[in-house]
Amino acid sequence: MAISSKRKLARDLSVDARELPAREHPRRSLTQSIAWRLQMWHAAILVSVVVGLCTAWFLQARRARLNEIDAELTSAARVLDGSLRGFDLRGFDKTERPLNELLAADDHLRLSLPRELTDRRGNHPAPYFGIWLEDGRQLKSERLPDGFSLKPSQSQPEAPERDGPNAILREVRIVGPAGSLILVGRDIGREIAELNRLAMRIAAFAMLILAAGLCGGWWLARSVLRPIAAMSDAASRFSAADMSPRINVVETESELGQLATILNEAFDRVERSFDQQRQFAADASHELRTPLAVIQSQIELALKRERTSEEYVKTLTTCSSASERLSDLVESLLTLARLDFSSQPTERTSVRVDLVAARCIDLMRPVAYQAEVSLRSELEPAIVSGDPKQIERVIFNLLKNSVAYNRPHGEAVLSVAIVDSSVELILQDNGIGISESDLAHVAERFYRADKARSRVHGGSGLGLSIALGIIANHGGTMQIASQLDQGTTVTVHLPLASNRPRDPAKEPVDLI
Amino acid sequence: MRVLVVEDEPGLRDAVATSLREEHYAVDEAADGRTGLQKARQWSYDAIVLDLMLPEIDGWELLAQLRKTHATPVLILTARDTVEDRVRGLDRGADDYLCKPFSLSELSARVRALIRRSHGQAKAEIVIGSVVINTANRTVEKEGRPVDLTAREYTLVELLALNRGELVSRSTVYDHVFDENEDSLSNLVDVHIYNIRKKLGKNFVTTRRGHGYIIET
Repeated sequence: MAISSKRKLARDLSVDARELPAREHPRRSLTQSIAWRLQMWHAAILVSVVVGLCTAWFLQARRARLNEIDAELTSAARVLDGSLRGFDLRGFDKTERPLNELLAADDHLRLSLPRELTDRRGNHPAPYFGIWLEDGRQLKSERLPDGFSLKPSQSQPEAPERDGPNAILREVRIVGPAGSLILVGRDIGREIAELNRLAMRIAAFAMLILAAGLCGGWWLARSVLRPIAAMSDAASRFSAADMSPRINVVETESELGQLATILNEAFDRVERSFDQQRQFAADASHELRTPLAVIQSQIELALKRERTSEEYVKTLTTCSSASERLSDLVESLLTLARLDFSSQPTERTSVRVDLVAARCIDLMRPVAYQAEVSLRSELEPAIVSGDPKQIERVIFNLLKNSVAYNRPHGEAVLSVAIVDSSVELILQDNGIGISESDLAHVAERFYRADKARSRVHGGSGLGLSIALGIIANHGGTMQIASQLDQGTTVTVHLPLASNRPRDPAKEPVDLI
Repeated sequence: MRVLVVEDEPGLRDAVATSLREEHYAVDEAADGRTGLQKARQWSYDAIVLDLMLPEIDGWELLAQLRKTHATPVLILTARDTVEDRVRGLDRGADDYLCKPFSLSELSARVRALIRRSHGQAKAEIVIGSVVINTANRTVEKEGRPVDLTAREYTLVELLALNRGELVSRSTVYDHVFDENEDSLSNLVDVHIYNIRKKLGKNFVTTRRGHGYIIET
């Protein structure tokens, strides 16, 4: 079951993989693009900074200009104020001295603006002024704009510019002697126009900076993200049908370079394990087909015509041994598939490794006798926690190899001992050994150093892989040391079962 | 017709060889690549059935070595069934490719076709005058009436017919009609030729004394 489902999985995968390159990538909407989002943020920050700075700049310039005007107007008002203090304005309303008489004396009073203000090379219009007594009567005025009317409520010394009929006016008013009011103002249209021109220049400048900043930002975002696009391109082209695409790593030190290197390594691993899987499937199908071919051809031959009973017996014997091989192989493949799917032994009890080893040696003895190989054992009591059947399988497989790859009058010694809180199982033989080039591959599935010999012994080439899988499942390790023509030593370490068993209900131990 | 079977699996080698023998081929066997290559070089086989996964020298290597000197038709018989393997096999000089498990009848049909094609014969029927040789079911007819030939006689007729117009030497006859286990030093061939003349007509086969036999076109 496990194998068929695994195959099905592989088939599904391959179908999926073939479809992948053809499948359209869902079109990224613009707002989902990182480049786009980066650009948006960048634009928002840039716009607010530039607009803020330019506004502040303009406001500062405007304020400075108006302050300058105000200072000029105020100083004019102060001059008027100074002149006015020469009078005794009190009792104006009480005395009979009429206002026009007072005004007639103006030549002496010189109630006028300083010459440098009124005569300013025609740069801007001369200021106007007006002086009002406390009771609201106008004392004097010059060049007041048409339709000017004093709004009594406006008593603050400084007032904002106000729109006249044709002009923008700015006025300053101060309180003179005896509650009189002095107002000086002038048309500031020229200055406002100047400020507006400044505003346009600032706006143009801001636009320029924004455009340059946004273009630069887009270019930066694109160039930062380009390697990511290359990565996603390589990753999307990587499929079961074509495992060659890799990311071109230019700078290995940058964050993206490291990411690319990591991805490439992951691709390498996938390709390697895929190759191994493919090799395994090819080998498994080869191993399964060969005995099937024997059975099919033998039966077809036997059925071609009437045969003697000896011939039938021969056919059946051949078929029987082929089917035996087939079922061994299926059993081994199922075991491997189960080992691949679970990382833990399915069953856990306390297992006396020494007793299991002794039983394996007893089982192996007739085979060893036939091969003229002597079996010895040095067994110390040792308990591991695991699946007794699987541990027996490990020891049996290793023993089988020791006998099969031995020679007449050879020897195999199996020892079990407790070393440094783990169970050490050593199987040493003085058989034909394994060459250095083969040693690297012996644990690979279906690998057989000597194909002719293993066929005679009926080995599937899976024994060592299964043993290794079981040992790994039990948290152990296996080392193989060998020299050609000298012999092989296999050392297995399994974790010693803790003194307090995990499941007290199962105690006392199921000793095998 | 003489065929070499190179296969390391004894049950399979036995079945293929026996089946081909029952179809009246002379069959040699080899259990590993080295022996296979040695035999393939030594004899001029009409066809070779070759497994790929072999001890000593594998099938690919055997094929590569053999193709340096010989054009013998080769049928690869293997459990490797991927497209890549088939393409590789055919590209490296194999003439046909059959995957395990297979049917023996298909194997023998492919071997027949292979031998026929290697002699430039596209059809299963060879017509020589009034004689019609059917290589598919190994029968011979003369003037529409079936002629009863023994297996050896038929093989000899087929060999000469496939090489008609060419002189077939006595040693070639021995090579192709008998396998390595038979004693080929007798004058069996002359006896067979005598019988063939009796059944198919005096002028069907011409003897060139000291050289061999020929069917004139």
